[in-house]
Amino acid sequence: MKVLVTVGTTRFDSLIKYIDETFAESSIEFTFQIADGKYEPVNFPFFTFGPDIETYYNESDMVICHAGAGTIYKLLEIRKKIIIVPNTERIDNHQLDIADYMGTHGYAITIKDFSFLSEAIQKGTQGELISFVKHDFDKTREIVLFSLGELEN
Amino acid sequence: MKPKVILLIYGSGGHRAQMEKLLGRIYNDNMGLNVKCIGITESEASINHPMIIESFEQPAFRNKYFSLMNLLRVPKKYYNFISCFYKIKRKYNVLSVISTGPGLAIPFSILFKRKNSKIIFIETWSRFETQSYAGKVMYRLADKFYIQNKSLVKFYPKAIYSGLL
Repeated sequence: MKVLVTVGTTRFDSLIKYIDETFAESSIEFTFQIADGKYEPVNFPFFTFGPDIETYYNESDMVICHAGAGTIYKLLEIRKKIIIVPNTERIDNHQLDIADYMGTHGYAITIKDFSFLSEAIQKGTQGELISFVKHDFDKTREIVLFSLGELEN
Repeated sequence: MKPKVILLIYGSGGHRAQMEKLLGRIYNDNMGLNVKCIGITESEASINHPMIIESFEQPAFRNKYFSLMNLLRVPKKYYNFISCFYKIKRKYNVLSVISTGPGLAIPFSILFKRKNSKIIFIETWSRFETQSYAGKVMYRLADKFYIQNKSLVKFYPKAIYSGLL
């Protein structure tokens, strides 16, 4: 099984280090995207940033990600199984907000404590997650017309 | 005559990502309208897009880390906002201000609202059970206020639900 661990633009060394060390002997093939992280994995391949992150998404069976909304929505859109781990090294309450929402509604598995990772991966492998239906933004025209004064109120 | 423009205000990270998506949608929704935009953004976050004819970079309005140093920088910050406002006002006719956050949108929205620009705010896509600081303030200032997640209607009863960028 291929699992991508992605942290977006902000490093999340404790997560990378935990997985790299804890799952060293596991049969899971991890790949890490570590941003400008100081910890470099020794047991699995890694990269810092990549324009081809979507290729990695597609090739993975599961993705472990930080709680960045852009990443989460993209992954849900391509129906990838995701485990969300909010970045506790840089706590913004909106990261917790989206992480809790996705976890509570069953669109993703959300964990805040790394020690639940193994369990979460197992749960993700066996069970199905609820598919997230995206209501696509439909106010573009209204915004443009209102902006240009072609539409009052 | 000064060129008519839409002023886009956005921060780095997620705010920028949402503005990029909105721009893409405006660009692709070929309405036969010649829409020109200018941008105000945080340092090094400017989006390169054919519709944006000029970008102005500003220090963040509200630093996440409170410190004495940040407090001392406040007057300079306000000076920057006001000088940027006049620079834009001299050169452009700002029809509307559109922002995806953060708080940087607040001072400029107050200033441009007095000049009769329309104010449009899109609350961030990462909120479900909490409000952003910018959202709380902009809800009072905006002529049109959009929410991307339905659950936010409890905080913003008069908001328009737009779906996700």
